[in-house]
Amino acid sequence: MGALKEDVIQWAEEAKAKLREGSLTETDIDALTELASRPRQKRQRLLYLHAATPNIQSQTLAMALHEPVKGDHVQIEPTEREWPYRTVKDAVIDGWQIIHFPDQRAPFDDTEIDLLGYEFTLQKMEEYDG
Amino acid sequence: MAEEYQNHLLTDAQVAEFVVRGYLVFKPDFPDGFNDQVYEECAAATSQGNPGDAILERVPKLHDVWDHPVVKGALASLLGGDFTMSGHRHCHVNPPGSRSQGWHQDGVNQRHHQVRVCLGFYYPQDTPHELGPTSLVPGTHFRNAPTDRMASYANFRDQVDLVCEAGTVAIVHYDIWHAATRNCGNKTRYMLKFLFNRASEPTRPNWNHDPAGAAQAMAVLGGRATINGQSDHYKERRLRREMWNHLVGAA
Repeated sequence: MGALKEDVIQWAEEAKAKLREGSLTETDIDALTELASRPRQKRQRLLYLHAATPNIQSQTLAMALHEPVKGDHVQIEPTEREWPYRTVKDAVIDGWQIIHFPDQRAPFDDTEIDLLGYEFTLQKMEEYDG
Repeated sequence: MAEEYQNHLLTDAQVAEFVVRGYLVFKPDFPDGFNDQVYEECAAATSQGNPGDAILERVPKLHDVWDHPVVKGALASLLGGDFTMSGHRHCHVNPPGSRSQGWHQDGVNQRHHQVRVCLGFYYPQDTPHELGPTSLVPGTHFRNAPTDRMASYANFRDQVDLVCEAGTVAIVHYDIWHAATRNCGNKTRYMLKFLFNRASEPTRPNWNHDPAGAAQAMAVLGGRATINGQSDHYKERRLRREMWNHLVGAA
């Protein structure tokens, strides 16, 4: 069981299919009511985006998405890697809020390089089963 | 008498690629059945616990990997003909269901931009995406980044998964960012990691250097290994030149 929004979207998809078949019943509507009345709590989804510069319109080069559910463990994916956001701004447009900006005034070193990219931390507060 | 590996020294283009990306991949022609035998012996050697540095004594066939002329030719090109094998080595065991490692550099960053230590990764089994290949981020061998500071990274757009056939050997700069990925297959993945050290300072290119063609190879030094910022890229290009100059004996 995940976020309320996802559960409702899933219910709506199933309901539409049943509606087309003429098999939607009062029980299905009760399921939606039950879904909406479950105890919920707001939790913080966290998204680390590393961009080429501190500008939110620069290209992202790395990402890590942490879902606030037990068992979620962010890993290096050897197979499918999705890149939903080309820039940090794309993520903001999708509803993510930036809660930490990279420090523009980095220790000055004109010869050496260290970390790759500039780290933005973003959050989305969503309702999950309590 | 010239040793056979001298017929397998790297070209200028290969050395330039190593300088830029921090790794090269080879597929030596081991005899039929060799990789399967090593796989079985690694499984036996690690069944009662990992033998650590003693893996070479437990699986002596591994000498044949590092003595292969293609492998030796690459190591001699990058570390000099008198390079040595370190006493430290490890058989990395990645069983089905394992999680990925975090990104890391081995040990602490060496704080120089020379080729003084290389890692050799040997894979005795076919290693498709499902079996947890090693992943690495090209060009990161120039970055002085403590492993702890990499903990918030997960996936990079430009990371390279070393998906390979059995018998593949990667020669890797010691400082490159790398990690084992998760094994979602049904077979244990082994990766034999050995270390090789430079024993003397370079006084000339120790590879198949062609002064006439070197300029073309050196043009590679200006390219991008990963997405990064403009300032980093300018600095990276200078560091690559520093590494190249050291390798040709000019630094």
